[in-house]
Amino acid sequence: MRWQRLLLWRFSRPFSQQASTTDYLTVHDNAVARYAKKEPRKNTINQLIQFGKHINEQKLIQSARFVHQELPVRLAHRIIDLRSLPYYVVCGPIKRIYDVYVEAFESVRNFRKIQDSADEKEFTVLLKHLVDESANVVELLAHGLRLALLKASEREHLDLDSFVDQMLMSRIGRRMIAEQHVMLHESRPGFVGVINTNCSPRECLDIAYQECSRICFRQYGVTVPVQIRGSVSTIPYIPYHLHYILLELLKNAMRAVVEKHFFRSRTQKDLLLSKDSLPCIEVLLTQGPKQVTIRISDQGGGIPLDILPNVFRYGFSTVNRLREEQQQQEGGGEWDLLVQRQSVDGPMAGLGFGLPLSKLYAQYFGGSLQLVSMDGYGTDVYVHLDRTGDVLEGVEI
Amino acid sequence: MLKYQRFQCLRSHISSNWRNLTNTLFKASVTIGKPRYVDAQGNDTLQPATLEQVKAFASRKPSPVTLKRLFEFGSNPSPKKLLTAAQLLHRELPCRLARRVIQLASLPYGLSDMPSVKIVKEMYERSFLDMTQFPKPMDEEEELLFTELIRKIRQRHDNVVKLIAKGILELKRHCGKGTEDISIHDFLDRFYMSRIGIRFLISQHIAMHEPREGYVGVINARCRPADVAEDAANVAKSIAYRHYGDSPDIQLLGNISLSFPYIEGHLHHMFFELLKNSLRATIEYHRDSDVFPPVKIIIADGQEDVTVKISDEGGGIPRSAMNRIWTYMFTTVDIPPERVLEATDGSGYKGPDTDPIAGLGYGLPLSRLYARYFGGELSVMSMEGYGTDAYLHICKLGDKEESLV
Repeated sequence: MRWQRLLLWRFSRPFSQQASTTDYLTVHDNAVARYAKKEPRKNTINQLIQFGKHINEQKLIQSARFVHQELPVRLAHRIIDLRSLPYYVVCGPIKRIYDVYVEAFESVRNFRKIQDSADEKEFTVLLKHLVDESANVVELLAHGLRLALLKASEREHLDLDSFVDQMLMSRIGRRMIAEQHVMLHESRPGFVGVINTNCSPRECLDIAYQECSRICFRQYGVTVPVQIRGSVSTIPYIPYHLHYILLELLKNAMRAVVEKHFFRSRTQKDLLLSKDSLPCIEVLLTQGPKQVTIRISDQGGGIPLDILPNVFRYGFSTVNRLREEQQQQEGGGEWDLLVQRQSVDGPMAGLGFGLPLSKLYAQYFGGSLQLVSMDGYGTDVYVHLDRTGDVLEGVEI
Repeated sequence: MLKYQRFQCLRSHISSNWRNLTNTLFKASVTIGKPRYVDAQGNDTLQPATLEQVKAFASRKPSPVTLKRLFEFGSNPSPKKLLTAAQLLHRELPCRLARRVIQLASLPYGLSDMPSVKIVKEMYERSFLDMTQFPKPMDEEEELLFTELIRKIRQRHDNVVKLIAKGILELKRHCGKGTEDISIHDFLDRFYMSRIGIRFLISQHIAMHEPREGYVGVINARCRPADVAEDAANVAKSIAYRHYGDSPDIQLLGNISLSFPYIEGHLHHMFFELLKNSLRATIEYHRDSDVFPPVKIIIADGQEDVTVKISDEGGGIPRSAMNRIWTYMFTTVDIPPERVLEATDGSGYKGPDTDPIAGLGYGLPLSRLYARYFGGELSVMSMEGYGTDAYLHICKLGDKEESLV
């Protein structure tokens, strides 16, 4: 009888009042509340560089202590957010995220006080493990969101965009501080942790373009030419962030141009080359005293008006319907699989997370990402990056 | 009181020719009643009867039209169509005028009490009374009289933008509040949007009496953005030559032959403002070099939307200034209120719906209102250290309703 009562209890109460499978709830409930009361401590890129420039054992211990205190605070905020979701949202993949976060919270919080190098080294190992564990959170979030939206359609209008925004923004930050600490152990010329003090946007662009081109060629047998104009000086930045943004934008641009200029036939493999050559993607690099701007313009026909309001929303993919069906049959297009492998964040194309996530990366250190579509012509995307390095992280509470 | 006045009007109408009648009517409207009086407390306020009427009309829901409907309705205007149109306007205009009266009386920070704003308020009250005291037109003659009435009303309101601008400067001197304040900015957005609508409807009706080849009222049936842009470009360039002795080239790219029905005057105004800004920025940014990079206009034809992109290499707008470009600032120079009425914008547009709007740093926000009026949009992207791209989105199908506030 007890299990039946438990079952009834589980299904009739909101998620926050239910016992989790791991049964942490009663034990750490107060802890989560306690940490969630604290504000995250934000840093600027310059502050991080200043700290990590001349690294020694003492500084590593200091850094470890900071992460030791900070991670649980940021995790606690997210745990609270997850708990306030409607029950039917937090099944399956999202429940898995919840469990991962709770476990991370516990393991960091319960780590002993860091006194010496040995503690610090062990803590670093823990951080590495946690970063790996949560590598697929974006994918889980995407699947969970899709399931939730399906369930919600019968009940109510469910808008999880701001929830996902906060989740992903916070994730960017937590991973950054964890990886920063781990990488402080390495010494790479020009780098302080994960920050490249002389990150060249032009170089990042070249690398992203090479990757995209390779994939495009494998998929379609053609490459889309690019014309890069302008030049900017280097900025202190995290190369991975910039790479993610540029890869996503170039991928979208190339796909749009190719799909506009190719004739479709039944199978993807029979795409015929149109007589005209493909119009090139124009990239412009400019800078002002406080920011660097990268404009990526394509002539891929623009974004259809019915999709346009949703480009920055989660779960809406610009992959067109024919391809979607094909993907379902073939289990994911080759293009998307190849792009997936490039990114730690997991599969992005077709899940509708790439563009909004790029926007978050751009915004994280005070930049922005804006898109203008010219129906029938093409799309322009503007990426603004702060070059002063004095903007606080965009950690949402 | 009012019913008797209407009866008097009808009586004199039946027995005289329309020219005499016009004079009679307008004299009548002056003597029938002043809208305002000084009450027992010494406040200058509306007659209670008028106030009630204003409230009644203001609470009616306005009926927005679409460009398509106006266009289809106005093709081949017969006297019967003109009469129907007049009757619809006769119903609709007082409603919109009444809302402005209410809005002007309840502005924040005492803006309603500024002398220039009071002048505008009285203008709207007068126009409202003129409209409501005019009986519903029932035949061709009355329709002509009605058209004459709205023409006079439009003329009366020609200087409203400048007067409001003056009023805002007066407010600034009075208490320091200006257009950077959100409630004032909001008022200006709504007020001017409404004005665009009222003036357009009036101009449209008047123009239907003077049919031009290829036009339905003020709507050009085959409006070519390329042509309008070229005209605006020529005017903008000549101004640049006058002021600076030189000017960048303006290139037209994309779908040059594209045409669709649209209000030419609005399009001209928007192009002119954007090109003026682009030329000035380019000249000033490259003042030390021999060659100016050209300003490029790209016309893109979509399924429902037309997008016109105007790109310059004028150095861009600094990030810190980006959020101010949409405020109704009166340039960076402080113009004294007394000088405001003299300002002109020099746009050179000579269509039948010319609006002598002032060049007071209103260019961008007003252009955006014009764009939004029939469901379009104007957005500006800046690349600091390089230049600015302005995107004008226009709905080419004409099936979006007027933006009503």
